[in-house]
This record gives sequence, structure tokens and C-alpha cells, in this order.
Amino acid sequence: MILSPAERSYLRDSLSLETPIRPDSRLVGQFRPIEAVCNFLPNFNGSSRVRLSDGNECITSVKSSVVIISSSSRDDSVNLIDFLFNIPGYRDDSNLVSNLTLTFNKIFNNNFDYSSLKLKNFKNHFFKLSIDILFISNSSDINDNYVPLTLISFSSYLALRSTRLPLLINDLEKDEEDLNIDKIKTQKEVELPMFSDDWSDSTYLFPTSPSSSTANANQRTPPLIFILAVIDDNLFVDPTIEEQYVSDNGLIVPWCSGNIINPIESTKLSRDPNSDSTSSSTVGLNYNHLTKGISLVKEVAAKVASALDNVVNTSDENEFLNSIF
Amino acid sequence: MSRQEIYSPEGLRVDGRRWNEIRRLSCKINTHPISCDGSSYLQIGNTKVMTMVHGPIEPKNKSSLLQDRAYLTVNLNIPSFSFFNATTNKKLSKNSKKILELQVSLVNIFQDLIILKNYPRTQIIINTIVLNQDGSLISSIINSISLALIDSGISMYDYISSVNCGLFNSKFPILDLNYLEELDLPFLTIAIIGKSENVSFLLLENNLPLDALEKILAISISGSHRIKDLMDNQVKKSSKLRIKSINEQSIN
Amino acid sequence: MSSTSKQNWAISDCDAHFCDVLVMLKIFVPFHCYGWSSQKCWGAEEETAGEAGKAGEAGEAPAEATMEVLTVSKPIQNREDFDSDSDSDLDLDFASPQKQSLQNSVVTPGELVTSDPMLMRGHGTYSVGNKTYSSVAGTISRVNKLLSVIPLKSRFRPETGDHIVGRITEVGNKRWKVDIGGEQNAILLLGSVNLPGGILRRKSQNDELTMRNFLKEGDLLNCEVQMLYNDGAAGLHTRSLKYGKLRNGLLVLVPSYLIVRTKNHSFDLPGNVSIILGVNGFVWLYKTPLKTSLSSSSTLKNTNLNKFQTMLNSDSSNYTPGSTSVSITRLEEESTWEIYSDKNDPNISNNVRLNIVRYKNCLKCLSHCEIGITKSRIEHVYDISLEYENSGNLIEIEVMERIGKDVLNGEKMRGVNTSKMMSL
Repeated sequence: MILSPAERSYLRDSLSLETPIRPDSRLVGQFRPIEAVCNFLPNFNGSSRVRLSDGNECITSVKSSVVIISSSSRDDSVNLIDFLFNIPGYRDDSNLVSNLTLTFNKIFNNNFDYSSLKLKNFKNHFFKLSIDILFISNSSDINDNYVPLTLISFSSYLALRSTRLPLLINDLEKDEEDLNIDKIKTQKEVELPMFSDDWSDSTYLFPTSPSSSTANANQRTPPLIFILAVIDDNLFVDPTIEEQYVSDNGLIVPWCSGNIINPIESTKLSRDPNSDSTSSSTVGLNYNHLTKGISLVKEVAAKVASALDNVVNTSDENEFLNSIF
Repeated sequence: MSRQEIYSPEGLRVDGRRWNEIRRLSCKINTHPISCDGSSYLQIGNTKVMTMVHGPIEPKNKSSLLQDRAYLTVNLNIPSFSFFNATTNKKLSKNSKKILELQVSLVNIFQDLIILKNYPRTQIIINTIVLNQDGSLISSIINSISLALIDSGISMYDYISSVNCGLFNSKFPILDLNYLEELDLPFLTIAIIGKSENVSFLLLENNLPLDALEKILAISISGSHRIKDLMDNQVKKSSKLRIKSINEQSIN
Repeated sequence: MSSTSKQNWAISDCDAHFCDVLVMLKIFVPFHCYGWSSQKCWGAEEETAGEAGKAGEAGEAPAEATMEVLTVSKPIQNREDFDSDSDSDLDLDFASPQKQSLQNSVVTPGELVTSDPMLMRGHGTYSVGNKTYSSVAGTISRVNKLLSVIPLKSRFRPETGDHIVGRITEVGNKRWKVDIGGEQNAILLLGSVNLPGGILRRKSQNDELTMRNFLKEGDLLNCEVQMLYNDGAAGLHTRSLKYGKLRNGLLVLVPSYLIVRTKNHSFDLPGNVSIILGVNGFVWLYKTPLKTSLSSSSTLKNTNLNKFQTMLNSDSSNYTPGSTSVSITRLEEESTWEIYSDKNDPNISNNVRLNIVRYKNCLKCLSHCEIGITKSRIEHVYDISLEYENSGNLIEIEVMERIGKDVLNGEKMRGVNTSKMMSL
């Protein structure tokens, strides 16, 4: 994305004003309209597709598998959520892909309640979620400058929200008192969890409440990651590619279940070496930025989550039969 | 577990089709009006393929600049979640032999189909993404690219439609195989130009008895013609809708 | 503006550290530093938190008074449009176009258009023997003896005389390559631009080496198509003072087929904003420059010169680079380094910026509804859009479609003849 110096300075001036004027006149906390659909991949536990008005789209699929984690290694080395990014035009070891993978894995694994993935009454069995993300950019040549975090985050949120896990038929509650630890190894056959074949028995990983009001603001949700562009003293939610280009800095603020969560990171959104001299790469974040950013996300996040939840609530069971376009 | 017969004695397949029936084909063009010049989405049974065409545009690098015609590039993306038994993290890497070979074949097919000399010193980029696989992968890709090219307004000689066809018990030809059938039966994939009998692409990776070849070719050709009609139907429908909505503005 | 008090500071452990400082900040830091727009504080949404179920419904109309934080819609599916039966006997509803009635029927690649050998074959067709087939999906157009098929969709095709806006992509040997959104990049020769010093200035070696001082990669300029090369590439020129580098504004991209070729492509819009409608779909919205004089009569030559000079002399303290436009009469004296300046006018008021952004959203409305773009339509949409105090509402799809319908209805009622409004 190249902008002429005149365009850049015009944009920057508009965005540095006390009441900033964004190029599409959005408010600082307003997102661009998206088009979203869920559950369209029949082979998967959860899937979603989100498309922005500028043509970028993101398809996410969630697949679950059962793993056994021995109690000794249960702490942290095992990640029960695994992200895999696929961005056409980018190698898997490129900066963009590896940064995204790292960020997502970190945020999700740190803030996911693993108990929801544990198979009931089985000691060491857990569901492992493999999340594959395909991001399709709108131009035939995107470059490293563009960080499409918001879209990917929406897509993964929706996919997880619509993920259903099969129902466990095999309940060891009664037998557990009889089994002791030695016997577990020998009685492998009894140990295997069995699931119902009927998909309509499956349960949502994140239970949806019937009324999606924010009164239930603290219900368990998958994390949402917001990226804010920082320009002078203003912060903007859902920055467009031009806004990112003229920004000084970016702030990644994750949110989950009603709260801001760790880690909040800063990131450089525009890696263009020819950036305006006024926004040199040495401009960092100050305290003001952080507090503003956090409060902004707090304002917006619950509404975003409820808007996305609506999609899941109103999604058709047989979505995969319909066209997704 | 009940035994599922690929082709029962009554003439029914696993999903209830007869030997010469193709699966439900749905397609749509102009699915990405903003991002690219031409786009299409094709769904046959559960196989879903999406294609985006950029072009003709200025070539990305000097090596893709041909003085007398356009330079055609095909990029195929088969993400891990598209596989039938999607085990985690199994991704067909961009440089795997299968994808490279397929890309080269696709370039060869479409190079003869597109009137490249109308667009000298430009590049045409075709990006295909497979969203779900359930058999007839290559056919769907070819069909989807064909539609996207038509949508983009690039001059071509005709449609290319493709279908696969297998042989059961060395006797019965079976049209349009899904994934399970492809695992069991020898099959070939064929691409035909328009309503003619000219073969643009033929792929056979198993063994077929020679005497059955003619039968299979005949069936596949008529299957391709049917697919071409379906695609043409859809293109005409959306074109008429588009013209109608444009004309609505120029009423007085 | 008491909405801060209504905020729910649900603070968890991980940001307990910030909590104390945040509370302090609330007391000491004045409100305005949060940079909220005073016109439509989206804190207003907080008060309607009770109706937050509406905060982004799938495809339903949002509450009118507030602005949605996020609108999510579902892709519109037309089942009959999408499905086709797979195994029924094919029964085409529309018969293939008869050979005689050629006009306005849709043909697809490979379809026979005519077997008449007397017709000349134009674009979009190819012939095998006597038969002519279509090579694109489009409508047949027959002008006298020329038969061609116009594709429904194609990239911008430049023609001589088009007024377009382009972006420099490459600086080469005595020429620039310009991206105009067409099939190939256009070429702007060094000899086709105005160099500072006047029209009769000789091009020196130095000029070739310092081309970047004039135009470098990324610069936007408006220009005219001077000629077409054999392969279809355009040759551009900026040999008039109404062409040149663009400043003080924003670029909007719209589909090229929505812009009609008319006599004049740059005009002023109400609100101190001017627009250049490039035929290639690149539209430049900018602050209306202070005009000294646009008169081109020769008897006023001296008056112009005097005006310019007096302006320079008297307002020398107020003179800012980039703020004036140079009148088109005196190329020699008035071609200064200024036409290649990158500096914007430092006095662009907020009002003008808001107007520019509003016009941009109006253009996006028109392009979303696929309505041809003309000056009157832009002004019409602008008027309609004024009922939304904050034009950020205009990015919502329902609003765009509503506005599009209003525009078309308004024209029907006024009896405007719009038959030539779109060029396919």
C-alpha cells in the first residue's frame, strides 16, 4: 500500500485532531460492517467465515480430538488449543504468519478454562482443539504492513462459539470408586471414552444464553482480540489499512468473558521505512495511550461479543447446504 | 456396522444415485466483487471450491512479462481443513509435488483456452482455494476456474467443464465419484471444451482395462456437457439479473 | 456527558495494577482528553444498553438514534438463484438467442452469435470460418456492420482524451509508470509534464537524473490520456495547469464503469470541496483551492498577472505553499516548483475535512448500489445524507441501499432522463 506524502500528511492531520476524523467518518469505537456465517463446513466441530466490506475475508475451522495428558506433565507445556495459519502468498515461516500464530496461541491458551475441555469423569482425557485459519486478502499483493487481527479474531470467536463437542456416553462415575490407579493401565478398554453418534446430542463448547443481553456480561466466552491504532493521542478501533499506515503504534488488547486479559501488547502497524518523519519509529506508547485503549475496549467489547453471538444464535442447522455467498 | 456397497445390484450407489447421475451442482459467480476482477464459488456435493481471478494486470515482475501475450499464473491453495478426514495440522504445502503438478496442468489447460494474445504484456493470476473435499477435486477446480474467468470478462474460446468417472467391477461405469468411491474404484478425470468432444485434460492414476475406456469416455463426455449446461445456466441467469438492475436505473 | 460514570469498571486481577491509577486518572484528567466526538457521543449507546440486544442484529434494521458499534449481517442467499438440479433433464428457460434478434441478448463464451459473413467482427468475438462466436459473457452490440460483444465486467480501458487520476508506481528512464487501474500501467514521458520554469524550458541531463524531485513512487496525479500504444497501454500527459500532482484531499476508488465520460470531470461541490472524477474510477476529493482567476481571455492577461503579483506582495505573510491554484493562462510565469510540492495546505478546517469524508461515504453509497456517478447525483446523495448527523452511519449497508433507492426515486419523480448514465 503506497500513499503519496500529501495523502499521508492529510490523513495524519485528520486523525491527530482532538476530535479525530477518520477517512470513513467512523467513530473511534465503531467497527466496519461485516458479513458472517457459521457452521458451513460439515466435517468440522465449528466453522465460520467473516468478510469485511473491503473484501478481506477469513475462514476458520475448529476440529476437536481427544488427547491424554498424564498428570505429571499437566502444567503448561501442553497446549490444548493449537492455531494454524494459512495466508495465501505467505510462507509459513514468514514474520506475519509466525507472529500471528504466536500471539493467538499465547492469548488463547493463557485464558482458556481448560476444565471446559476436560472429559467429564475421565482423569486424563481432554479435548484438544485445532483451529485452522485461512485469511484471504483483497489485493493480490498484501504486504507485511497490514495486520488483519480484528477480522481473524472475529472469525475465531465465531468459530469457537459455534463449536459443538460430541456427547460423552461413557460415564465412569459409578465405576470410579472401584478403579484404583493400578488398574487404569490394564483396563484400557474400559477407559476409552465413547461418544454418541447422533450429532444433535452434541453440546456447545460455550453455552449460549437464550437472551444475548449484556446482563450476562460475565458469561464464559472465547477471547476476542482487538487491535487499536495509535496516532498521536488518539486510539482507533478496527483501523483500516490506511489508518494503520500512518499510525505511530498499535495496541493489541485481548478481551474475554467480560474482562480485559493478558497480555496487552504493543505492535508496530506500519513497517514502512518511508514513514512520515513526524511519526518516526521511536515514538512509543505512554500511559495515556494504555489507559485510553483499555477503556475503549471495555466500552466496545461486550457489544461486539453480543453482536457476534447473534450470528451463532440465529444460524441455521443446515448451513452447509446453503451457499456461503 | 452395515456394509455399504459402492454399487448395489439394484443399481444404487451409497448416496442413492444411479450410475449416470451427478451430484447436486451449485455455483455462483461474482462472489467477490471488490477484491478481484472475477470470482466464482462452486459446490458439487460436498466439495466446495472458490476461485478468484486478478487480471489482466501489470505483471508483478519483469520475468512474467511477455511481449506478445498474457502470462498466466495459477495458485492453488488446499488448506488442511479441507481434507475429508481432516487430521490436525496436515497441510498440503505449497511446494508439494501434487500441488505443483496440478498448477502446471491447470496453466496448460487454460493457456490454450484463454485468448492470451489479446492481452500482451499483462499477467493473469488465478487463485483457487479448496474449502472442502469430497471427491472430484480436480474437476471442481477446473470448473470453478472456468467460471471465474468468464466472470472476469477475459476472452476465452469456450467453457471448460470437467467430471470424473470410474469403473466398478470392470463392467459398470460410474459417473461423478465422491471421496469414498474414489478410494475404491479406478477412475479418470476428464475436461472437455464446450459442447464438443475435444478433450483438454485427461488424468488417470489407476489402472483401467482398455476395452472399458471407450465406454467411460463416452459417459464422461456427456457428463461434462451436462455440467457445462448447468454452469452456462447460472452464468446467463446472473448476467440477466445484472443487466436488469442496470437497466432499472436508466428508466424513463 | 456523564457517561463515564455509567461505565462498569469490571476489573479483574490481571489489571488490578492499572485499577488504582485509573481511578486516579478519572479524577485528575479532564474529560476531553478521551477525544470523544462531542456531536454524537457513542456513550449514548450506553444509555440504551437495555436494548443492547439490538446492538448488531443479523440483517435487521439498527436503532435509528444510535450508531452501532458493529453490524453483522448474513450473506444474502437467493436459493433459486443458486441451486440447479443435477439430474433432471436440462430444460433451459431461455432459448439461445435467435440469429436475427441480436440486440441486448446475453451470450456466453463459445456461443454462436451469427453465421453472416458480411459483418465485421469487433471485440469480444472470434471467428471460425464464416461463423462468429462470442468470447466473453456479455451483450451483443451491433453498430452498422460491426458486431461485437460487450463484456459485463472488464477492467478500465483507457481512451484518448480521458481525464484520469493515477498513481506513480515506477520511475524509469525518462518516463514514469502510472497505475491507472487498467490492464497495464500507463506511461508518462518526461517530455509530457510541465517542468518548473515554463513550457519552453529545455530538458537537460539533470532533469533525467532528478525525476524523483518531480514525481516519485506513490504520488497521485491527474492527467489526460494523450495516446494509446499498440498493445493498449496509455500514454499520459499533464501539459496543462489543471493537471498535475494532487494535494489536500483523499482518494476514493469506485468501479470504473460507474463513471460516465463527460466534457468536464472536475468541479466544485457545496461545502468548499472539489472533486475530480477520474474516468478510471479513481476519484479525488479535496479542499477547494483559493482561486485567483480562471479567466482565459487574453485581454485580461495583465489583470491576471497583476492580481497574482498583488496577492503575492500583500499577503506574503499569509502565503502558504500549496494553497493556491494557478490560473491556466500563463503557463510560463506560473509554472513554479510549487506544482510538485508535497506539502498540503496547513489551513484545512475541520468542516472541510468532515465534508470531504461525507462525500467519500456518499460515493461509496453510489458505488455499492451500482448507480452511475454524476455531479448532480453526488449532490443529491449529499443532501440526503445530511439527515445523518454523523456520516459514519453511511457505511452501514442498509443505509446505503436506502439512500440508493431514494436517489433513483427522486430522479424518477423529477423526470430526469438517465438513460445514458452508465457505460458498461
